[in-house]
Amino acid sequence: MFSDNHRYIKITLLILILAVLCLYSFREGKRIYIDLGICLANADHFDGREIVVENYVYVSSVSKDRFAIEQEGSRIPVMGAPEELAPGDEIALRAIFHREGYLTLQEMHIKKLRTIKIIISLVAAMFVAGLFLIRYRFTLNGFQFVERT
Amino acid sequence: MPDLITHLSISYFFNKPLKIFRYSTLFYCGAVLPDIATRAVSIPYHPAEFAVYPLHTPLGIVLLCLLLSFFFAEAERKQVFVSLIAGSSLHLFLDLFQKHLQPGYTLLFPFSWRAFEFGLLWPETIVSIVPLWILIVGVMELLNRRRAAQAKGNRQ
Repeated sequence: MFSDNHRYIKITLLILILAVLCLYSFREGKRIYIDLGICLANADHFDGREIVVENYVYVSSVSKDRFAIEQEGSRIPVMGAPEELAPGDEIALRAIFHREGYLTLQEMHIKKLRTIKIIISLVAAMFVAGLFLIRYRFTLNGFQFVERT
Repeated sequence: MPDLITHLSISYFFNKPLKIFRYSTLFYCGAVLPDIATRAVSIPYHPAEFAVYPLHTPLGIVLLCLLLSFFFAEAERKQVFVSLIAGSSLHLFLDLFQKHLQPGYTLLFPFSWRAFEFGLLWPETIVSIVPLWILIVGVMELLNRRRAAQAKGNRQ
């Protein structure tokens, strides 16, 4: 399996399988994990249903007993206490969708420190890339990484 | 995902005292690989999130590590694959301890979308203890180097 026999065919096959998996995931994932845009576009279908919106959901405004969220350009008001919330916060929430175009809050998580997490992860990724490049170099002869001598 | 410093630190705790993997650099690369392969695309370009999602699943990561191993010399290819897959497996295992409002990680993808996670910590919770990880890794590395220097001195 790890030999050089038919190496380029093996590489092509692996890329093809991964591409098929990615395509399948792209089509099915959007159907399974709904977002605000899908809910608003099919308001009657989602009326009264509990939904979870978790990715890239930002608070756009806050008032006394409600707040508004935005996800990928779709904006919707949420009825519920906006405790500790401020505009610009990234959150995840579980809520009941109403076809009139608002949500009733069930559960919420404020993603504090997410930006810091991304920044320090970037630093760690660069550190690992550095470790790798100190040890290996790419050669066009054989189209592979070889240890630096 | 926990942050990559946490992933790297924990893989260091596994690798350094036990000296399990000959290719430790690649073990560390494996420990960050699932997030590099997915978040590096989905954070700057959100709509691609599900397109790269398979690269953060067990089957996807096995295929990706196998693919990457073919870009190394034939003689070391198997070891490269083992090191990458070990690091990536540790990464996926650690991610299972996180808590989300959505279902979690689809370990059986593409055969099932049923998701699982232990759900103990919010992904951002661990960020606050990153300085502790760095301190522990720093002290361990310092002690290791001092021990190695002493051993070298004794041999001479």
